[in-house]
Amino acid sequence: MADNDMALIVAIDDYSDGAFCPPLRGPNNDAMAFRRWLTSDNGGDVPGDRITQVSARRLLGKQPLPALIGSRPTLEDVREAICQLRMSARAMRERDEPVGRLYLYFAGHGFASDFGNGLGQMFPAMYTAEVTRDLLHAHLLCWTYGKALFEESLFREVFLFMDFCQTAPGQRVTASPLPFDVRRDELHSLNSFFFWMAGATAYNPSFEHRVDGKTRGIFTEALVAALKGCARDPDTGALTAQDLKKYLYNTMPHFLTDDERAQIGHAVVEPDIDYLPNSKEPRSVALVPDAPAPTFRVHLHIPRQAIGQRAEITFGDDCRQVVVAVEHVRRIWKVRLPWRLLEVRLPDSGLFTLVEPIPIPERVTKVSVDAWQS
Amino acid sequence: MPGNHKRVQLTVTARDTAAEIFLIDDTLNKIAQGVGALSYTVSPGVYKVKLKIGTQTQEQLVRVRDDQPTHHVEIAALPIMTAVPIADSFFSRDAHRDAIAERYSGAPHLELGSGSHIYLCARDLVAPGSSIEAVSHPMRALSLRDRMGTVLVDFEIESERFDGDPSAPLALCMVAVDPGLYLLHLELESGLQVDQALFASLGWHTHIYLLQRYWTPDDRAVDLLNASILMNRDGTFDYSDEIVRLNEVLRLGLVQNRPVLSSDIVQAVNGKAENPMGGLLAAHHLLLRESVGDLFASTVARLLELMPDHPDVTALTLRLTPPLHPTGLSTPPMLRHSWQLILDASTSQPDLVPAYSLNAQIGSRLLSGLPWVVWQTPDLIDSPIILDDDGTMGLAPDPVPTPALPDTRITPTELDKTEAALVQFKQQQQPIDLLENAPAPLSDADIDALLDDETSRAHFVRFTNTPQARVNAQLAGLLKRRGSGG
Repeated sequence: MADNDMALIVAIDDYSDGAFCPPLRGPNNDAMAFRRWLTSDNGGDVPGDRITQVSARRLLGKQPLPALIGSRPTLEDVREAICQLRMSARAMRERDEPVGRLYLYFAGHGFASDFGNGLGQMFPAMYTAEVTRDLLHAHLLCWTYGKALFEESLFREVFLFMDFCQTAPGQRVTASPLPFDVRRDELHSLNSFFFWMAGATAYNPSFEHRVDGKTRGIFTEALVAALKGCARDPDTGALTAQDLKKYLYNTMPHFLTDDERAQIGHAVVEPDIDYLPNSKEPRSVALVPDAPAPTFRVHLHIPRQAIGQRAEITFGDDCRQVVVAVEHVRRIWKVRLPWRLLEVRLPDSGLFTLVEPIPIPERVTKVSVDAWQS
Repeated sequence: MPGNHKRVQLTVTARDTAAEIFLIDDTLNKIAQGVGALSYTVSPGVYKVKLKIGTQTQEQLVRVRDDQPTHHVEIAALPIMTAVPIADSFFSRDAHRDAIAERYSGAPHLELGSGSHIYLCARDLVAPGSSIEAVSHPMRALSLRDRMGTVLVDFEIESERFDGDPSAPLALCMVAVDPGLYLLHLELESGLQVDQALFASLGWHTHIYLLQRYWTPDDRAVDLLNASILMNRDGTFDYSDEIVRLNEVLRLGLVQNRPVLSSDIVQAVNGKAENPMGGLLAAHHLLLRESVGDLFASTVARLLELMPDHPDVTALTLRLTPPLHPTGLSTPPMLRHSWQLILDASTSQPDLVPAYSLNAQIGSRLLSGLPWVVWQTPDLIDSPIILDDDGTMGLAPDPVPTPALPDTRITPTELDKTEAALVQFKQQQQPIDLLENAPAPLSDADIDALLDDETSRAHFVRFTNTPQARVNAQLAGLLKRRGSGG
């Protein structure tokens, strides 16, 4: 068990000014999905008592929610949680306990803030529940929090996940300061790692949709799928920060259905992922122990003239490595394949097609008869 | 991809010379990238080619075989997000294009001056079956103002409407003006007011194309942040799609803060075809690439020929080697990246931006969208803007007001904000005792230290997005209010 790892999860569905920040239905569902991965033995393996979850339900307990909708968590609620977490980490360090990993997860409404850094970089910022048009300082500069905790070297690694919009606000937003003074430890931070992922790039929205009767954020849905193993390297079975990055960049749009994609029009569905250049290489940071990589469902519709012939699926240098081959292929070849770029060949007909399996569990990648080339 | 097979030269060219191209190997790792074109030696196998323009992307899988020494991939045009109704864009309408071309060949609607022109085109496009209603007027709540805030044109009244299609209204307004700074001012029902800097250069027509956006859940009006701005000599709508596409792809790159530029593009914008807006955008892309050599110098030189009076060109001269040393930049530039050049330079040259000019006051109010300088209009009662007398600007200094009583020109509210920013700045710059969680109160010594220490002061300038001279005035005002200064 990752006894020295810690996590902070902040999820806000309802805001006091529903016209400014309309209710969301995804953040708490997403937070629970992320928490389930965090606490699972084959996931983050973080002890439950080391996870601080800040949400209206947890803060308000059994009080009648309708009367209190949008009142919590406030900026102060989250700041207090961060200060508590930081003090716990300090106490551990003072007891000479090994430093662990910190997971920070935020979901709600957000925006791109440029406060304090000019043009060079946008800060992903999330509104807290009490925000109104006249109280815009009620927000968290999530990236700044993550970086401050990284710079203090209280943790071996800081993973920051942010599922909220990074649209440009229609009005100027003044900054919300950190609740503590940062004590930088540059020596240690050189051996540390700060990696962040946001569900949207600067000036773009993030999206939620219905999955199995629940509303989920697209980013968190993809993130949790990746963490559960979909992002594992098909050759080594490793799941590093680099694999996570690669998975999110390549697959996030696939989590939307065709109808949903049509509905969002020209909006971009792309994460924003980076790490501090002075920290470790993402390839060297494994999130979970190695295990076999999963395979994904692919249905290949075979051209009429090739049905019953030999077929093979290959990859690698000049596509010489065979993943699977059959002597007599059926009209629809149903096969499970690793997530990589593959060539499917029908040698007797001289036909081939290229395929990238969509690496989402239960999703079927369909290759039509029109996709074959000679 | 290790192996003994021969290598193949894979080349990829995109229809858009400023499109980003990424090459991804069969394990989904990015192995190469380029702008407009890409050439990379690979082993035979399967690859993914990804094209990116602004926020739009397109992917295709490619099989590279070992029977040829080279493999070429050509990628067709990707529709782009532009408010100009050109081909291969998401918001193109032939009817709009025809109406603009016809009207722009005629006389201006208004003549407020001479020497320069501002042409405004605002449209709305509502998809069939959408729950969104087209705006009542594409230029609703929009006006042209001078730098003092005086209304010159109420576009809702003065513009010409083309309402052939109720789901796609179009309004145009062509105005002859004196060269200088103007403000596109938007005043929304929610009370929110924003201004966009618009500089009309001598001898140029500045064309602004606007679509609509939601500023608040209830307020839908022109989208200043995503405006498409072009310039030409004669005002006609004679842009070839190539020039518009190039400019717009460069603009979309700046919006994402991504350098998308090749030497071919720079040569194109510096060539015989006069394209000053393309030159401005290309120059900033060069700076994003940290390329300030000959290409940058020739681009700025060409811009100085075309429009020596433009504040964005003046801003670019700050990065020449050796730099020109303009002073008294009281006029905001149009591009946010130009603003940043001015702000940065003000840290070593405090007289660059006069403390009481419009340029000194907008930084803390800038909206965070790129690439244009758009700011939330100050409350005139609470924070009066003190302007320079001179409406024009160039490399010659503007008159700098004598700050006899600096703090009298800065309101108590601004001092409150300065104090709050100082507390936050101190938090981030000066770590204190490990167990101290509550921020220490701000002391006069902290302010004095900031005034004395050039490096810290420069950091504070960037931190507050406020030019040096204004920061100096704020700090002096703060000390005076605390009873320990001047």
